[in-house]
Amino acid sequence: MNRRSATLAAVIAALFFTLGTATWGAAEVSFKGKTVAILIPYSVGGAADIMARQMLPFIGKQIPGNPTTIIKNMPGGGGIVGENWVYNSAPADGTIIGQFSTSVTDTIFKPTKVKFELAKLQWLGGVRETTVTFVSKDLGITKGTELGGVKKKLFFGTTSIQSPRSMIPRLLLKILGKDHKLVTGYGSSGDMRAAIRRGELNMTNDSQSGYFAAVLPMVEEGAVVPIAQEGTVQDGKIIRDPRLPDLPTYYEIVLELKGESVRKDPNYRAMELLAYLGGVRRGWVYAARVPKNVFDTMAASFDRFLKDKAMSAHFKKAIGFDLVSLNAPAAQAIIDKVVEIQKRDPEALEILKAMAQKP
Amino acid sequence: MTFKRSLGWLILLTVLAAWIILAQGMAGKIGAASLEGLVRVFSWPAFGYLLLGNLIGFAVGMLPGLGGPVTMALMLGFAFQLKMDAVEAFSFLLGMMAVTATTGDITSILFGIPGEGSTASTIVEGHPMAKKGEAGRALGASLMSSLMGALIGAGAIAVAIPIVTPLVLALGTPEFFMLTVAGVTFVGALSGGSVIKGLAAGGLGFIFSLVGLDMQTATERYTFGTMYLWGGGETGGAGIGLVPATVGLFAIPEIIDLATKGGSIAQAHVGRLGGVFQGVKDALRHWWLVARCSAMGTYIGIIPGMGGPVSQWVAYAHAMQSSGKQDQVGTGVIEGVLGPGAANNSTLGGALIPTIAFGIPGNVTTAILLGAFLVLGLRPGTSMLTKDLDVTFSLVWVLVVSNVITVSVCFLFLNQLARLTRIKGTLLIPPLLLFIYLGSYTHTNSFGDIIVTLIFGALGWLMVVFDWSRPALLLGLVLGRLADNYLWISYSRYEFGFLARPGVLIILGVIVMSIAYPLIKNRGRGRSAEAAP
Amino acid sequence: MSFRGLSIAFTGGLFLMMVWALWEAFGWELQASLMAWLIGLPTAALLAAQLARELAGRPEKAVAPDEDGPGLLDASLVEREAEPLDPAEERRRTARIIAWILGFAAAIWLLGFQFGIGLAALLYLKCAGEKWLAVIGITVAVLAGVVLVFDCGMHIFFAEGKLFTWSGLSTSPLFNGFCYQVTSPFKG
Repeated sequence: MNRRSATLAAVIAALFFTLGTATWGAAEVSFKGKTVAILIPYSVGGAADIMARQMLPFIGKQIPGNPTTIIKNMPGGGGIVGENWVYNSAPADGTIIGQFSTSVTDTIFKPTKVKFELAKLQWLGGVRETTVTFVSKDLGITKGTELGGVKKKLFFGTTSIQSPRSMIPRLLLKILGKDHKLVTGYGSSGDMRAAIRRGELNMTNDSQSGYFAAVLPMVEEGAVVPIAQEGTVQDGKIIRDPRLPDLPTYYEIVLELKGESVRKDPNYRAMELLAYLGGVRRGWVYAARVPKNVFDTMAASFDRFLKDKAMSAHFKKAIGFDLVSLNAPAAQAIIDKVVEIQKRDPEALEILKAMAQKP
Repeated sequence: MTFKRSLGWLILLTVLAAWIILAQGMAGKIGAASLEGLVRVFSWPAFGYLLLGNLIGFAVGMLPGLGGPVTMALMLGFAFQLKMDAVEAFSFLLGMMAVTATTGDITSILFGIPGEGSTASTIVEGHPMAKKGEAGRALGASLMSSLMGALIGAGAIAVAIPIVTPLVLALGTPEFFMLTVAGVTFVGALSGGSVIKGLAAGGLGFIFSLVGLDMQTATERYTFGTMYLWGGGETGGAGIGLVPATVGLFAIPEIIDLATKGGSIAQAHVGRLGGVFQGVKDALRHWWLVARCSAMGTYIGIIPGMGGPVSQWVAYAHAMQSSGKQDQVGTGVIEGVLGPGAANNSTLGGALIPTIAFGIPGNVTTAILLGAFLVLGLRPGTSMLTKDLDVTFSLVWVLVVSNVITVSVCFLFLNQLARLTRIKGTLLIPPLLLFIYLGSYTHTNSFGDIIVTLIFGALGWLMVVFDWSRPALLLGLVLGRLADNYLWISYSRYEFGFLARPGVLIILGVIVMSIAYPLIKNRGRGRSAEAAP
Repeated sequence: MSFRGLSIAFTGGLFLMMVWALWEAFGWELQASLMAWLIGLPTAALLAAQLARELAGRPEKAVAPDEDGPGLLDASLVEREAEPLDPAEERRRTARIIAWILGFAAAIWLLGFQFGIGLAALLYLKCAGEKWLAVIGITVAVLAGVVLVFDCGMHIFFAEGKLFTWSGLSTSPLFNGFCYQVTSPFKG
């Protein structure tokens, strides 16, 4: 053995050693005998709550020491009360995990009530979903690029003017210069599906799980036509969600109709910002006060949980498509990017804030 | 009277004829699926889960702190863990949910505390009966009407299958808005002597419902800068929770009354506990009223956002109105027990119709059930009416079987239950206060819930003392948020043109009549009273 | 103050509240205030009409024990015929129970649900002159209900009592619920 290969061997050995300690080393914390609670800042029975309850049997066995896992609900303020509590008051020993859905947009649309800093939350992981816009068959179109030529008046329905989900299609219509009426006040996606059926609306959008569960049957029946999707963020780029490969994104539609120059349009940049804002649909977080070794242990547990085949099989059955999960670094990267764009492009941010005020 | 009755028959026969025409092609298939559904419910272990669900639902209904929808969400996880199949899971979940309104009435009647959010109306006439020593009769009547309501609600699912599209899609948002106004008007107009006070109480309820963060404009309405009053829930529900307000309005005054009077809840002692059998006979004698209220409950269940909390009051108003005993509100009128008893049970059947057929859940309960549907690999929609028709029918049978079992079991214990009203008041007050506070606390798990209960308790007590209508206020609170949303949808979609829609005009006509009728009647009576001496 | 005076004060209070509610709605944009105006104006008018009627001294039909039958209030009056209660005693009892209702709430606020409700129940029963057996029995039953059903069974988020927070005794696992460390049959 010559000297060079000896050096190489030593480096490799050292590398393994370092990697080893980083992953399984002394830092690991045991939760044996403890109770770990996932805090849902919404009521029992909501979409967030039900998702967490399905998740629960799979998460406990991945955490070192196999702690008892439970759900705690702390509804209020559209989620902000619970989010603030996790950030400021929850025990710092890692026994409280927040499951946040709207924390990212809350910091933009309700800045005076939010008592946490996005950049300081520690993200354990999350799931990613796209959203799908669909129109009534009465409009007589088959794809998004035909939207501009629709003769009938568009009635776009959504829950509230602040709903981040509705903002991308609203921006799309704005960029296309298409006159439309925003109809707000619906209680749920179900209400909007009913409204489309009775002709009250002719355009709306839904989350991916809502789309697969309840809209797809309407598509097969011929009552509605899907025209665009929000897409997924991957390696810093917005792409079509792999689970909906044939449906173009809003960005593709705009680029096809308006050309590359549209990238400079602040409305288009606002659309892109929204894709990042929605990057973590539901995320699990620790407060900034939770120690690094506890965070590392839990992040690794969530990583194992998200890779668990039995878990993904269960969710595929439940929501009709594969779960796209984000591990701790991936979720953190998206949030970092959000924080960065918010700083870099105040103009786009202002457009979103204005849209939350006026149709 | 005869005109009204013959009109009723005419409508019934027309609907029946239309249904027969529409259902012609499906009759054979419905029969076969119905039988298959029945067999699946009675097979093992589905039937075991059904019994377990009934047992849990029995307790959940009776305990004021435990609400049906919340418990159902908790049990959903349980069903997943046991890897139940579709029919097993529904036997369990729906079997639990189906009986909560039935046993919730029991608590309302005995203690004046609503066992469920949807059984508050039973207090108004049922609890005074218990005080008069007629707890047995009230319970008998309520259970029997609950059973009849549940059967009619379940039957409605079967009947609705061929005509589901027009049934669900006939009315649009503007009509929903008018219905909310109509509901409050009906109940307000019923308020003892004074229509003015009744309608004003309903209006105040509407205003109370606005408290919170308006999710449309992010305006803080009457929140005094506290985040508690923003409201909870994923979609930003009302700032004043339904349960804290209901418990405050109805239960706190009863506690004060119980402690002030001393002794037990039952003040008079009727020898045979007021006769359970008498109550059953009441329900059968008023079968047509029970049927009408069940039908109302079913249709209100179909309307999105409404449900038991609404249908009970509309049925109550209708029962009192048609009984001709409007001046005896709150004295223990048996019709006022039968109406809500039937309606809050039939509502579940109605709410299942759009859930099954279109995947549009009408309320929290059906939203959770829809979640369970999806997890179990069932896709709501036309397939539930064709390929999976037997599963649909198993739901119908779960409703029927659960209520038959529960009501039968209740009858066995009814005399013992009625005897609770003879326990010394001082011994009852600590557990009752526990349930009052815990029940309201489960709304958002914060002390603010208890403060809301106390404020509404004070308001409710003063309203009793000065004879204002608590039902109208509560219904206003329930319907206000919905009305707010419906109004804005109608306006932003149709502008003021929505007021000219035929459906809106018809409901408006009914509202005007319901206000004018008692006024005219009162005037007529006033005149005859003046003429008499 | 007479009953009539109190009644007028209550109606007046509701009217003022309504006026304030309309005043508040002034600053809101159309969408937020539409409902407040649409319902609030007629309601304020109705309340004003009611106030005017009461001030004019028109007798309330429902309250007057005439042939119309008793109103909401009278449900309890009817049965009271058996043992007529001295008005002074009735007032005393009413004040006492209202104090207890507030006391239970205060106990929960200060001590948290488990300790607060237990202590309040114990004190109430003892002050009511119950036998020790009944006192202990019902207190234990009440406590068991809180702990077994709501804490262990449903994992309700019980806020800790303010006394524990102030005194620095708050150690989350203990005061967040007895059952916090115990496996529940209903979890997930």
